[in-house]
Amino acid sequence: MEHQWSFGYWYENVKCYFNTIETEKLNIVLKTEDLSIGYRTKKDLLVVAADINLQLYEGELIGLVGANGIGKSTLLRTLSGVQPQLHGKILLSNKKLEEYKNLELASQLSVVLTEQIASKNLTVQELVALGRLPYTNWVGKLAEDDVEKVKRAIEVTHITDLIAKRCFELSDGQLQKVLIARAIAQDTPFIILDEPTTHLDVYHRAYILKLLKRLAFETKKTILFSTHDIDFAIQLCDKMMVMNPEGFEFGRPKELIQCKAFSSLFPDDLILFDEKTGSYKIRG
Amino acid sequence: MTLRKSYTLTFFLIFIVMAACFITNISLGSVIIPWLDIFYSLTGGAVEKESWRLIVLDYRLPKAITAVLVGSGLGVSGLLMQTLFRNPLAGPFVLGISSGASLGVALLILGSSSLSLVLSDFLISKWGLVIAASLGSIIVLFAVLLVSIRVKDTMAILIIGLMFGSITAAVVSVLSYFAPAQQLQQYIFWGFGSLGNLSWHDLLLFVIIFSFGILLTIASIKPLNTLLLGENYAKSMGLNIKVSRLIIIIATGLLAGGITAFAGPIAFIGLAVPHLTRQLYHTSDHKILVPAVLLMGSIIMLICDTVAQLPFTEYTLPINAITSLIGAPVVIWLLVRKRKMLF
Repeated sequence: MEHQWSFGYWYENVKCYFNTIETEKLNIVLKTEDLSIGYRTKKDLLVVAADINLQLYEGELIGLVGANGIGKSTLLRTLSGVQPQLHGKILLSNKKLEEYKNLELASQLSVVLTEQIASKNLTVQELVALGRLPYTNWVGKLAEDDVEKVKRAIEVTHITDLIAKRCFELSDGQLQKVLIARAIAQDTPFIILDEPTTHLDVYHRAYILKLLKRLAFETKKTILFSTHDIDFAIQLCDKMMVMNPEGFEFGRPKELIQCKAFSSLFPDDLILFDEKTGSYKIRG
Repeated sequence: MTLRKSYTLTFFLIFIVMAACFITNISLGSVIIPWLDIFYSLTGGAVEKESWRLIVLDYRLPKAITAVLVGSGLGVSGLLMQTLFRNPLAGPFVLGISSGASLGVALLILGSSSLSLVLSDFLISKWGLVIAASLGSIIVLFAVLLVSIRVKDTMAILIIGLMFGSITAAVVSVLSYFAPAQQLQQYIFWGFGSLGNLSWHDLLLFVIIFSFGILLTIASIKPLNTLLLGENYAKSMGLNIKVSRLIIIIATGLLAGGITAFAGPIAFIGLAVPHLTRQLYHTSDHKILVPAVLLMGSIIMLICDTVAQLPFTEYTLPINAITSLIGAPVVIWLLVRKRKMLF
């Protein structure tokens, strides 16, 4: 066995060794303690969800599911610091979310929103480069390092052939990839996406989610997204958050299936969750 | 990097065109002055008739410089509005900002008749006009902005801008109904728009206000680029929206208000110039657009003014009519050709 002594074999062994160490002490990127979210009016509190305890590790893909109006957006808005929490703690990279300054937060957290971007006249290259703005000087001039990161974000999301196009020329699926590339260019440990698969056909929904899975793995970023594609999310996510009318559940998809988290997601008069296939079936 | 090179080339060409327009503008007018004499009046050489030197130095040159300031300033304020309101049809005129400036001036000119003479003399000085117009435009801007925070629909914002325009027009007509004839005439002439009324002294004041507006614009280049994604994305990239918005609004108020005070309400330049510039440069990057709009605005305004002079005749048309005659078809052409206007 000659190759046992070759450099490659030795290198692979050492790398495996270090990889196991890495997985043992993965960093916690986001942590919440007894978090409750909702809205505070002058008179009373409107609690959307309570007792949310999360630990999101680096390189994880996390799906957030729940019925319309259950509060997925409220949770994402709270976790991204747009809206204050009612109670409890949110720690992003070991620091309280509310203690972050605007710019500092921009280097920790990037977002992909459901809303349309304001200017569709931007080229794909320009749009992805905008992700670097938190790191640039007062006119927003890209340094060498910024150019390199933009290039990498474009390559890793496979949109190299689109860079000269303008956003109004793109299909919904392409635009979603470009917006994800922008978030990657912002180079933050944590990325939040609000329903990245809406308006897409089934192929592109799978494509975007596979892309997120690969990005989380390759770039070691923690990616949290909300979605209605529950069956795809079950197949791809490392962890999932389920927002039920009864409460909030968080865990690996298999565990969640076992504790029947998906069965109580919707009223059961029309559809039923099939545990074997991990998808919903019309009631016969 | 070829991209950067092509921008430099375009800038160079546009600058040449602007210089050519500037020279043409001061060479043409009601009085025919030979090219050589124009050159000598500028450089201080011997001129055949002393009145020619006077015409060139004290009338045509300040007027051409005013045209440059007005065109570039209105273009930039249009650009700022389009990005801030996420609306390709925004501009100082459409959003009622020019109307706000008109209202300020109307209150000053028409309302001052009720004040004592000494006070009104001071108020109707250029300073008074500038302050009234800038205040008027900034107040309308804030009003439009307040509404736009509540109403997200961009079409609604435009309609609200038009409504503000109507309200100011109504107030102006009430004021003019009660104003004495002399003041009314003064206001109406101001309303035609004019580039030729500025002395060198006025021009200095104009340049100072213009420079403040442009400095604030340059300071806002990065926030403007961030805003191209929309406010929520801009926030997520660490932009302090409130501060940036305030700076952009003050810049627009100074530019649009100052220009309206000195040259009267001038339509369509603010709306059309940014679009023409985007057509030429194929970019939405404000690092490129701000200087490009400055140059393009100057060119368009110099051309409009040259046309308004009706060279070789003794007539001069109101500049506002010419900018509308040139600007409105440009906007229609852009809409028809591109189907939708982008920014």
